[in-house]
Amino acid sequence: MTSSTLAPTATSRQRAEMHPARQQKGRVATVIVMLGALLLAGVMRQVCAIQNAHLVNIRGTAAARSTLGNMDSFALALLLGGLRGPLIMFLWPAIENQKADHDLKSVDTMIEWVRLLQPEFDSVHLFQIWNKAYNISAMMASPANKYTVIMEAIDYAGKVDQEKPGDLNILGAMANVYGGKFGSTNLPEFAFYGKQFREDSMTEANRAAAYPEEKKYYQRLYKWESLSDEKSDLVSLLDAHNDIRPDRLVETQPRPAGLDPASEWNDGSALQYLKKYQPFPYGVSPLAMAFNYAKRAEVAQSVEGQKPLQLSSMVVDSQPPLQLKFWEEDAARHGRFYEARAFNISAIGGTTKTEAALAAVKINDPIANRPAIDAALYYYETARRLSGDALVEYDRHLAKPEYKMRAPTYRPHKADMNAALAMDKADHDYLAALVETNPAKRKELLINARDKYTSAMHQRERTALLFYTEDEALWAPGVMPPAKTADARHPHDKEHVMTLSDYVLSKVYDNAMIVATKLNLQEHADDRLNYGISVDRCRMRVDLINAAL
Amino acid sequence: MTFGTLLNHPLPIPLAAVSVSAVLWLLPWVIATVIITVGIFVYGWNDVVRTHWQRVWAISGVCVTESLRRKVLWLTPLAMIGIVVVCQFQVAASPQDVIQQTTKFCLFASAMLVTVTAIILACTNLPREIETRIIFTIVTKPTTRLEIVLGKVLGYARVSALIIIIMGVFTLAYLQIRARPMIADLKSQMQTLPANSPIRASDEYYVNSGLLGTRSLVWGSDVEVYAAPPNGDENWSLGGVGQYILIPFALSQDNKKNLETLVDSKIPVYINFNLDVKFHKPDERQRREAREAKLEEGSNTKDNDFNVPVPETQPSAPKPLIPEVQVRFLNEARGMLVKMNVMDAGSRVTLKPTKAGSATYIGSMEIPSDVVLEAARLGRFYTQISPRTPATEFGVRGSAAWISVPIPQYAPIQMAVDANHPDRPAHAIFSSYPTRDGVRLTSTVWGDDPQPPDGPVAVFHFRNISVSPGNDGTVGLQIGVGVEKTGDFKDDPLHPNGYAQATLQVVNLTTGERSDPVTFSPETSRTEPVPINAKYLKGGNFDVLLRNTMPGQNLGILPGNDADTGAMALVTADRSFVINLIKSLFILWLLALLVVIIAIFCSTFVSWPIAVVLTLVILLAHWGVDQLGSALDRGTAGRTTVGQFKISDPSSAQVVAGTVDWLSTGLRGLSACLPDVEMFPVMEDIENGVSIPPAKVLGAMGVIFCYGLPLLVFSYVILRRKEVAP
Repeated sequence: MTSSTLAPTATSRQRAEMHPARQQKGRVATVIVMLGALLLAGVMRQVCAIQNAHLVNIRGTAAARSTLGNMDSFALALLLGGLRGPLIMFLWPAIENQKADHDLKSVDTMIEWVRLLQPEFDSVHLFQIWNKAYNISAMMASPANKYTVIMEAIDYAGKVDQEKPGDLNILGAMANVYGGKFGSTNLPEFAFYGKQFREDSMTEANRAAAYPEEKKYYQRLYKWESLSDEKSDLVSLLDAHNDIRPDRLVETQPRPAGLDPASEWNDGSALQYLKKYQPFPYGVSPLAMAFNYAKRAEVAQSVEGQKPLQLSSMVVDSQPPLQLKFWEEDAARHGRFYEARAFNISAIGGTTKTEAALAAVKINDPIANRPAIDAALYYYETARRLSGDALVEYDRHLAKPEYKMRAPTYRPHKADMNAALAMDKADHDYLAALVETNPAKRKELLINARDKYTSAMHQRERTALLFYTEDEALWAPGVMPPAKTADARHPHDKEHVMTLSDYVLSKVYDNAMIVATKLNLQEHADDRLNYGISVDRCRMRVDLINAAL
Repeated sequence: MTFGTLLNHPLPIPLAAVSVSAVLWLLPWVIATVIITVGIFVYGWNDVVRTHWQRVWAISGVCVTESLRRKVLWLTPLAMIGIVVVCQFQVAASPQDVIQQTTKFCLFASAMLVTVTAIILACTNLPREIETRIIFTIVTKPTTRLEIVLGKVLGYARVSALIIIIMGVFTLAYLQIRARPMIADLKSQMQTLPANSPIRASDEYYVNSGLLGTRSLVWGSDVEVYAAPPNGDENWSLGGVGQYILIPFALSQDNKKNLETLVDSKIPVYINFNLDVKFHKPDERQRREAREAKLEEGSNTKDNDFNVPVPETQPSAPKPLIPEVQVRFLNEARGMLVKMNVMDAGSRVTLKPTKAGSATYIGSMEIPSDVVLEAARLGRFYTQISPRTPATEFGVRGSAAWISVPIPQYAPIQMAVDANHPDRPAHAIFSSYPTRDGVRLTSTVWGDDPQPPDGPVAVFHFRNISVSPGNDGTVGLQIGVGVEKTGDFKDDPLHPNGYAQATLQVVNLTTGERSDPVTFSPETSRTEPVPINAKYLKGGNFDVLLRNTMPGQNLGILPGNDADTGAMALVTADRSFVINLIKSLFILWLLALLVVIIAIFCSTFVSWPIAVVLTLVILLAHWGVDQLGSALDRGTAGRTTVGQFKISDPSSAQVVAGTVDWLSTGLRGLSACLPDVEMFPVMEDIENGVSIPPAKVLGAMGVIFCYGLPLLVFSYVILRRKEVAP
C-alpha cells in the first residue's frame, strides 16, 4: 500500500506517523502555546486585579493585596483545570451534610479547599469563619477541642488576611471571633478560653514562670506560625521579653504623604494597636486581640474608605471603644482574681461573698502569695489605661456627625469607664500600699487610693441612680430631696441626680436601694447588685484607709 | 425467612416461606447462571471448544502493548503529583486524621485513574479497530470471537492491574513517609503532655500500634447501665437519672387463658414489686428535684394556686426521701404494649418497707385491663421499672416482680426463667433512657454522700473472645460515644485541662482481676483507642465498665453490638496494613474489571463516544438512583413535580403525578437491574484502619459474576453476530 493510496482516507495519526519530524515540531509548538497561554493568563489576572482595586477605589493596605499569597489558590485551580466549579458545588453541600450528621472527619480540609478555590469572595470567607467558630466548635464536647476549632477559624481568617491584607470584612470577622467566642462571659468555657489563650501566647519559659500552678494541666493547644519569610522557632505570640514577636509588628504599608498628620493609619502590621500595651507578662488577652482587629477594621473604614459587606458602618466604627471596655472589665476581673489569690480568699461562694471578703482586706493583713500581688497590680494598672483609652475611643466615635445621636446609648458606658478609671487606680494604689515599705510613700498611696475610691463610689452611685434604678424607687417619698424651685426640669427628671452634691448623692443612693429591695423591683436588679458590690467595696476601703491613717 | 435459613431448610421449601428478599437476592445469581450457560455452553459451545488460551493471551498482550504505546502509564506520575499537591492543603485535627485523609486521597486518585483509563481504552479499542480495519487481520485468522472478547478484557484488566500496582506501591511508600514523622511528633507530644492528660491513652495507643495499623474488631454485647458494677446476685439501678430495669415475663398457655378470663370477669390483676432500696445523702440539686417531684416526706404541703412549696420561716432538718418507681409495660421490641400518649411516663408506684428498718421494699399496682389482654395475646413482654427518687438505688435480687390476683385459686405469675437455668429467674435488663446519641450515661460526680455508688456505669460484656496482645502487652479497646453538656455544665475546676473525660475499666470474669480505670477523652464523631493491659482480658471472658467522670455532661452510648450500632469494640488483632491495602486494591481491580467488561460490551454495538457515555450510565445509574433516595418514592415524586410546576388543575395534576410516579418506579426498577458500585468498598474500611472482611471481597466478586460475566457473554454474542469483516 502506497502513501498516495492511503492519503485520502488516512487519519491524522497515520499521517503523523508518516512524518515524525512534523509531529515532533507540532508537539513543541503546542507546549510553547500552552506555556504562553499560562503566562498570559497570569499577566491578565494581575492587570484585572489592579484594575479592580482601582475601580472600587480601595486605598491603603487592601490595594496592595499580595499576589504571592494567592499562589495556593492559583496552583489548586490550575491543577483542577475546569473542574473548579463542579468541585465547589460538591464541597459546599458535602460540608453542610457532614456537619448536620455530626461527622466532622475531613470537614476542615473541605473548608480549606473552599477557601483556596473561592479566594475572591469575602462572603464565602465570612461564612466559613463563622461556621467554624460558631457551628463546628459548638459540636465539640471538650472545651479544649472547641478552643482548637475556634483558633482554626482565626487561622482561616489569618490566611485570608495574608492573601488580602487589611480587608475590612476579614478584620471585622477576626474581631468578632475573638470577642464573641473567647470574650463572651456567658459561655461556660469562658474562663478556660481566656486562660488557655493567655498561656498559649507566651513562650514556654515565661508561661511556666507566670503560671506555676498550671504545671500539671497545661498543654499547648495552638502554635503561632511566623508571618514573615524568616523561619522562627517561636510558637508563641510573645517573645522572650513578653513583647509581641517582631513579625507581628512589621510595617508593610507606609503612611501616605498627603495624609492628615492627626489621622490614624493602618501600617500593615498584624498587631499594630497592641504595641503600646506591651509587654504582656501574663499573656495576651483574647479581648486585646478583639480590640486590635476591631481597631484595624475601623481605620480601614474611616481612613482607607473600605465598605463593610455585612455589618453597618456604625457597628464597625463603634467596635474599638466597646472592645476596649470589655478588655478593661476583663483586666479588672483578673485583678480581683489575683487579689483573692494573694490573700488566699476562695472564689467559692459566689461573687458577692468573694467581693465582700476581698473588700475587707486590711492594710496589715498577711500576704499569702506575693507574686499574685504583682499580677493584680499589673492588671489594675492595665485596666486603668484601658478605661482611659476607651473614653478616648468613645469620644472619637461620638464626634462623628453621623453617630452623634448615639450619645445617649453610650452615656452609661462612658460613665462606667470614668468610674473604672478611678476605681482601677484606687485598687492599684491600695494594693501597692500594702507592699510598700517606705512609710511616706505608703501614706501617699493610701491617700491617693482613698480619693480615687471616693470618686469611683460617687460615680457608681450616680450611674446606678441614673440608669439602673426604677422610677418607683427613685421617686418614692423621702428618697430624693425636693427639686429646687429655679430648676425648670420636670420634677421626675432623672437628670436631677447630676445636680446632687456628693454627700446627698450617697444618701439618695442608699434610700433608693432600700426602697428597690423592699419593693422587690426586678427590672434592674442584677445591675443594681453589681453597682452595689462596687459601691460597698469603695466604702469599705475608704473606711479601712481612714482607720489606717 | 432469610437466605441463610433458606439454604438450611429441608426440601421441598414451602413457597410461602420463601421471603421476597431472599428471592430478590437469589435472582441475579440464577439469571447470570442461565445467561452464562446458554450463551457459552449452548450458543457458543463450538467457540468454547476451539478456544486456545495462548491466543487469548496474545490478544491481551496486544492490548497491553498498545496501551503502553499510548503512554497510559505516564498518567500515574501525574496522579501522584496531584495527590502530593492536594495533601499539602489538608487540615486535620490529629495525625490519625492526616493518615485517613491521605489514604482516601491516594485510593480515590487510583480509582479515578484506573476507571477513566479503563473506560477510554476499552471503549475506543474495538470501534477503532473496526474503523481502521485492523480487525481484519485478527478475524481472518483462526481466532474465535470469544477469544477476541476474552483477550481484550484480559488485556485491559492487565493494564488496570499494572496501574493499580504502581499506584499501590506509591500509596504505601507515601503513607509510610507521612506516618513516620507523625509518630515522632506524637512521641514528643507525649513527653510534653501532663501525666494526667486524658488524651494520653489514645496517643499511647497510636505510638505503640503505629498510625498505619489495621485492626480486627469484635463488638461487645448490648450495653447495660447500672448504678454500680454488677456483682452477680444483686444489681442496682439509680433513681432520678433516667435509668430503668426491664423485667421479662413469659406467659404459659394457662396463664394467658386465666388472664383473659379474669379480665372478662372484671377481676383486677396486679403487678407486685420486691426491690431493695439504698438511700444516699442527696446534694442540694437532688434535694430540690425530690421536692419538686413530691418525693420528700411532707413535701406535699403546696400552695394550691401556684403549686410551689410554701416558704418556711426556719430551716428544718432534711426530710427522708420516698422511694418511688414508674411502671410501664413493653413488648419484646421495647415498644409500648398498648398505644398510649408517648409523653406518659407510666404509673407511679410508691414502695414501702416490708418492716420498719428493712432495706427490702414492696409495692404494687393494678394493671389496666387492655394491657392485660395484650400481654395475654403476646405471651412475652417486659415490665419497665424506672426509679424516680434521686440519690437512691433500687436493687433487683431474684424474682423482683410477679403478677397476682386477689383470688386464691389463681397462683401468682412469676417473671420469666433463665433459658439455661430454669430454676432461676431470667436476667433483668438494666438500661437508661436515650440521649440524641444513644443510651444515656450520667456523671459519676454527684451527691454529698461520703459513700456514693461506684457508678453510674455502662457495662459491655465480652464472652469467649480470642485476644492477641501487641508487643507492649496491651490490647486496644475502641470506644465512640456522643457527649452532651447538661444545663449545669460549667468550666470545671477539677478538670482544668479542658478535656471531656471518662474512664474505662476491665473486669476479668475468669480471674476476678480489675484493671485500674484508664482515663480517656471522648469527643463527638471520633472513636478513641484505649490500651488495656492484656492480663485483664486473659481467658476471653470479661466486662468493660465505662464511667462518665465529668460533671455536667452526659454520654450517649450506641446500644448495639456491631460496627453500625455499637459503641465499644475490642481490637482482637493488629494486622498488616500492606495486606489490607492489597485487599483494597484487589477490590479496585475487580471494579476496573467490571468497567472494562461494560466498556467492551458497549463498544460492540455503538460508536466509541456513545460507548463511553453508556458505560458511565450503566456504571453509575444504580448509585445515582440510590442518591435520590426517598425523592423517588411512589407519591412523593409525583407530588413534588406537581408542586414544582404549580399545576393547579386537578385532572392535569393527577395525570402528571401518575406519570412521574410511574417513571420513578420504572427508574428504580431499571437501576435495580444494574450493577451497584457501592459493592466495591475500596476506601471505607482501610481509611478507618479496619481490616477489610472477606465478605466484602466476596461481595465484589459476586457483582462480577452476576453482572460482569453475563455482559461478557452478551459482548461475545453481539460480536459473533456482527459483520466486522467482508
